[in-house]
Amino acid sequence: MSGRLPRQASRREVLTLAATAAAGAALKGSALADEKSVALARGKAPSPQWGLAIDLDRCSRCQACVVACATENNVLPLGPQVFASTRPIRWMDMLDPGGRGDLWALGRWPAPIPCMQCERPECVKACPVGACYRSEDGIVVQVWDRCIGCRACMIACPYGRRYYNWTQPAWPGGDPSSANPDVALRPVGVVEKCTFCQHRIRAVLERARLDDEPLDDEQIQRLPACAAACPSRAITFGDLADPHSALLALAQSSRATRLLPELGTHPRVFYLRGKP
Amino acid sequence: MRVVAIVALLAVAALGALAYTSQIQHGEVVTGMRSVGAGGAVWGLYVVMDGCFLGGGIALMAIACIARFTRDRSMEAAARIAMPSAITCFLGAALCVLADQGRPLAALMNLSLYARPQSPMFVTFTSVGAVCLFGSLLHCVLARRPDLAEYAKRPSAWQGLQRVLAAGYQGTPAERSRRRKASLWMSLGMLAALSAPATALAILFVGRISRSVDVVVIEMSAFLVISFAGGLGILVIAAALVRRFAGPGAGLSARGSARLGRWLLVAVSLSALLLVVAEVASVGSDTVAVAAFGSALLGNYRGMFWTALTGLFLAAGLLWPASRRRRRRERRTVLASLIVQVSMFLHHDWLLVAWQTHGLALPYGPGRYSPTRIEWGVAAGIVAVCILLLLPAVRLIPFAPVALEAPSIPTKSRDLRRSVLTFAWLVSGLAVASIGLLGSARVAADASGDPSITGSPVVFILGLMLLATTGAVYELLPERK
Repeated sequence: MSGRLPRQASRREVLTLAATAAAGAALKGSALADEKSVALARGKAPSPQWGLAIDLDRCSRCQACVVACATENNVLPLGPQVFASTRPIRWMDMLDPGGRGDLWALGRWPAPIPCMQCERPECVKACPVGACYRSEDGIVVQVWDRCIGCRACMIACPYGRRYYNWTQPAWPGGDPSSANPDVALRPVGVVEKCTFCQHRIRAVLERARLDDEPLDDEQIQRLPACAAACPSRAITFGDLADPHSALLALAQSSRATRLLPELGTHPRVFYLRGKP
Repeated sequence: MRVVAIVALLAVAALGALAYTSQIQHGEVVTGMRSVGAGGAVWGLYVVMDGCFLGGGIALMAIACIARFTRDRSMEAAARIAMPSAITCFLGAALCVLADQGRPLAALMNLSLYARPQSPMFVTFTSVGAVCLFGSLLHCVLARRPDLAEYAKRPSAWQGLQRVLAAGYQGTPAERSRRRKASLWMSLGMLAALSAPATALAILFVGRISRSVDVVVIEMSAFLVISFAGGLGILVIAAALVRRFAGPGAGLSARGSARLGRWLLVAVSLSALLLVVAEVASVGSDTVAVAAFGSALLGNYRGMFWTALTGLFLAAGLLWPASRRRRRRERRTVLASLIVQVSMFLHHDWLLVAWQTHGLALPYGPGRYSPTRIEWGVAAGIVAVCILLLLPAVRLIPFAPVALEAPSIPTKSRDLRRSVLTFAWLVSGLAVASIGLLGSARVAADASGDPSITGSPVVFILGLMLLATTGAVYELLPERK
């Protein structure tokens, strides 16, 4: 009988555990209360963890972000006929709660809503062929070529942030030369969504790698097209895994809130409202 | 009369093909579906039809398995009619899903190569292919082998195929005993296997993260019970048609008919009860559920909801007197079954669509959905194709039983070779299915990447098919001379 006895926890381990629990309890109520996000904030993540903060007090509802997003990502102008049949595609949209402002945490004014890039995305679970997955940097990616057009992800997404190409995309005058060459054109019958302008992120990361220079938080705060176009600098992009990033500070502020936190999807888009 | 019916069905099928061609050509912009949150529903008539077909098919197959498992003589004809009807329903379900896909060919290819078990669609895809269609077809053929052997003796256009399907059947006591055992285990296996697609289908219709679990559970139960009632209704209608066109010998006995009527009454009453309970539970749920509830009771969907509920009560009212007097009232039962079909369709439609247009968690404006003529055309075409495919199947294996098979007597003789081979077949089926499932689930591989074994979903389907054929191996393995 030489079985090992279970090792007893040392006093240091017990105290560390208690301190961690206390820190977790103290953070409760802030938007980054969950364990994983706390771990990210301490810089334990192997790669950047991209996120977005939208300051609703700064936002003037000018919809520049909506237009910039569409232009950057080759979201086609659909023409009056398709638009009238309410089949628009808007990766970044302005959601007007109308008389149903009581239904969400953002008040009664319209708010810009991109894809929430959830940490636990329902769309990824629902996709039957793996056309939708969450990349290492926390962006929920849609592989257009693999998508079969079943729209299960659209049903699963509680935020309604996915769009389907109901018809063959057609450029005005049939000329796609004004399209952004960095973003693929999506065919008919596939679902598409916001990617946090992943092509821009990659380009900046690659440039930093080639120049062998560390990426500065200032450089990336206005990286996505929506953030770059915002005249009131209401949209801040950044790395949640960087303890010094402006985004992390905003996400941890008492003004930060997330959409439908009760669903447990842990969105990476934070809304700021109210006075600190 | 028959020729006119066939020509009409062919015309409807051609119209359906034309409508589908238009959909493929222009995209699903020709349908009434729109983006969720932008005033519409992304799943519409095709998915509703899929729910009706698949739910009804599963119910039919379950009834056939229960009848075979319990060896109820009065339900033998019901089992005979239920099996081909179930296969037709499964085919219809598969066609409906295919019609709904934005890229149908890519769907077939990518589901075969990359399907993931995390998605409920994996279960429906693999189950419809392997369990529902293949398993049901095999079960149907094995169950009718004595009749096929008799039919194969008569000259007909199908004689060759009938001979192949009945090959080796001699009706010896040992063979009858094997048939009995194989039928028992296959019925049990099918019943267990059918629970997976049934649950997955209910999740597809009802399960949403933004909904409270208790309401979802009640609505899933309501969905399954109404589907079962729908399946029973299809069986009653099919039995009446068989009786009308193939003669009383092929139809249900008076006792069987009365029993089906009683089952239908129970299912319909339970459906109505669960429907009411689900709605009452929604009131005590969150504000989003209340919005969807309001749309059902008083809003856009009030017509659907109240018609479905009234239909269920009406059907129960029609079935009640017949069940009390224990008399054959075929017309009433058939009428009640037709009403149940309408109720089932409306219930599934309302259940699927109302939550997309009125039950969103974010304050999007309410939407609406009404199918276009293209969608109705495709759906009608699918129904016509299914009925047309059923006709040659009925010629191949007619409903009327001709073989007078003596009751089987359990034999105590042990055939070790047969048992070992069957067990080996079962284990190999389990192994192949497990490899396919683990590969599809990306076990020991990047969860967001491709399966470690290319085409793992197909491997899983092959494993399920091997499992489904275990009973056939046991029954059909030639005896040692």
